[in-house]
Amino acid sequence: MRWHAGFNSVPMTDATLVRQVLQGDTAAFTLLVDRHAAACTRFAMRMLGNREDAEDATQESFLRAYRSLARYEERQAFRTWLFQILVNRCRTAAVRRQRRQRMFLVDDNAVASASVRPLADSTELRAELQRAIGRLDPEQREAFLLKHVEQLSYDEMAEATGVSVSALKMRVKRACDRLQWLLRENGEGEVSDVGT
Amino acid sequence: MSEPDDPRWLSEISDELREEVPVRAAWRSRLLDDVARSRRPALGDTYDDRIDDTGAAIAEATPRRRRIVLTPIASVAAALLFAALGAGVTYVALSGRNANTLAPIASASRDSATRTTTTLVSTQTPADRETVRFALSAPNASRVALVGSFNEWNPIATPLVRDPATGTWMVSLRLPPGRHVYAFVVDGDVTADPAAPRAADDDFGSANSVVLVTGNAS
Amino acid sequence: MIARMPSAISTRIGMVSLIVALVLGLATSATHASAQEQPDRTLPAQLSAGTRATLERLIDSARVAGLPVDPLYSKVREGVFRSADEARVVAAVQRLGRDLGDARSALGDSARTEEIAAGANALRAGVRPADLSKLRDSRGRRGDHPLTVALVVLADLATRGVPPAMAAASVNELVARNVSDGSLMSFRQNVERDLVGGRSAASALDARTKSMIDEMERRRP
Repeated sequence: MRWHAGFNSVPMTDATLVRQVLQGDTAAFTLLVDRHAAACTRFAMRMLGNREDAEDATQESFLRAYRSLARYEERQAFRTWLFQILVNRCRTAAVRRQRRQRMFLVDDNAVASASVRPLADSTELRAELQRAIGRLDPEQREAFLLKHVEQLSYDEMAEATGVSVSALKMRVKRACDRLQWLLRENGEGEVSDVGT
Repeated sequence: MSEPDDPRWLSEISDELREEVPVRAAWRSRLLDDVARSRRPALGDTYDDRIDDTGAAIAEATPRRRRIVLTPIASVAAALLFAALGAGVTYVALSGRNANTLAPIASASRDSATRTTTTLVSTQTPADRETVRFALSAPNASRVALVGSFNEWNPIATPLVRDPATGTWMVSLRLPPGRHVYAFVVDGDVTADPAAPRAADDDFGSANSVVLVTGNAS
Repeated sequence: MIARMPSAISTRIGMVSLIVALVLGLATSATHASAQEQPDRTLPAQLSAGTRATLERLIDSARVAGLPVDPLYSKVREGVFRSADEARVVAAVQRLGRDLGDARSALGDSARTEEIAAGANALRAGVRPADLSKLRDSRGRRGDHPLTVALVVLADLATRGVPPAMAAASVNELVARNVSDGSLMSFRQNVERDLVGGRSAASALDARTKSMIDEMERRRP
């Protein structure tokens, strides 16, 4: 990856950037943010179903990563370590939203439409996909997104989620089966609301 | 990219879901501001339970959350609220940048963090600094100052003091180890130190001088 | 605009403004030290937003390439101090960035920050990258000893009119013989004195190198 032709550049790994931050160059953290923010926001959005919650979860994840940066070990990919934090933040956000939803009288349609605010360039397909994703069990959704969207290896997924590889494989398979069914049936069938 | 043995429908939806999500500039600014205000991490940090708890506490206490009411009728109003909120954050970030008030925060909070968290291991303890004496013979000058990489080239930060007997101007500074570039400002004129090695770059007209501080390891 | 916003938002902005005010208060009290605790890694407000953006990009590139960024920030501040026009500041930073990269390539990845900075300066003075590499290889027994002093001496001599290749050859010979940093600085001083006295570069270098080597031979047990 070349940045500036004149600088005889050598690509700087995430681990090197972390080291720089820990040695006092806190501005190097900006580069880590810029490298990973898009992927984190994407995962959180698909996981939580709306941009606001996704941005909050991603923001909290980066702040926690920054504060606990000294605990990052280079044997692990930084991305995996960051996703470990993000997965936890998303789980917490989902639980919080569940608690809120029980406090108010809502019907599923309103929840679905309030939380799936389409992006400016959203297509019909994307909206349908998001609805289908939202109807997976959270555990399956999480595993599916990590495997097929964020493309972590099963070992990395195990580190990020704390779940065994075999259990993860089962969840991914179930997620794929259910998605296939949901999309074929055009979203009809049993409802599992976004927050469960 | 999708794996080759994934069924086609799976590859298609994975590719679709993998579509890049734009990161909002306002969100990014807010995050970087929060980072700048945070306690700086350093090697030697021991695990601090309060960090995680603080993180959780901040999340729970965010006022915005408590005010959102998800009812069927209010969902449209909620969307409007979110839009206005986004605009509000952008307003603060933009006005801050225009007024240059956000720029000093990064270094200021670093400074305050360094002062208050003395338990952190820092890469440069005061003991590493060496006292360096700068001297210039300028008996007819009325003002002499030192400018350089160690005082951000600020001509009012480090004035020299004149020894009336010899007409020599002097100042002592504690400098960290490394290579420092500097010059004297004599009654407004910038001049290199005649007794020191020269720096080769004269990008801005005149040459500077170099002082090397070796530190403990030498 | 603030007055028309729902209270949730104005409270939020209020909180942010309070934090800004508190931290700015800390900022003013923090700037009174004459030699900063830590180098200032912000760009001066006097520069236009466009120039600052360009400089941020340049410095970011250098940072990502693993190059020391403090010399770049210092270069900016020097330019502002000298009232240089913004295009010139940008050009200077660009040039220094390139020199830092070339110096790091020539001196190797394990080169220290100050070696890279001093090496960049030597390159700027006209020394060739190959000569920097030769210096690195000449360290021999003291393979760990920083080349910073040697590089500073080299840049200085080249700046004072000694042909860079000639200066490099002399310094290289002294480094190969493990001359101490203090002796290197004396060497520089003596050559300078000779040059000021009207001696030619070639003859000054030759004489002073020889006398330094003789001195070392004499001191050897």
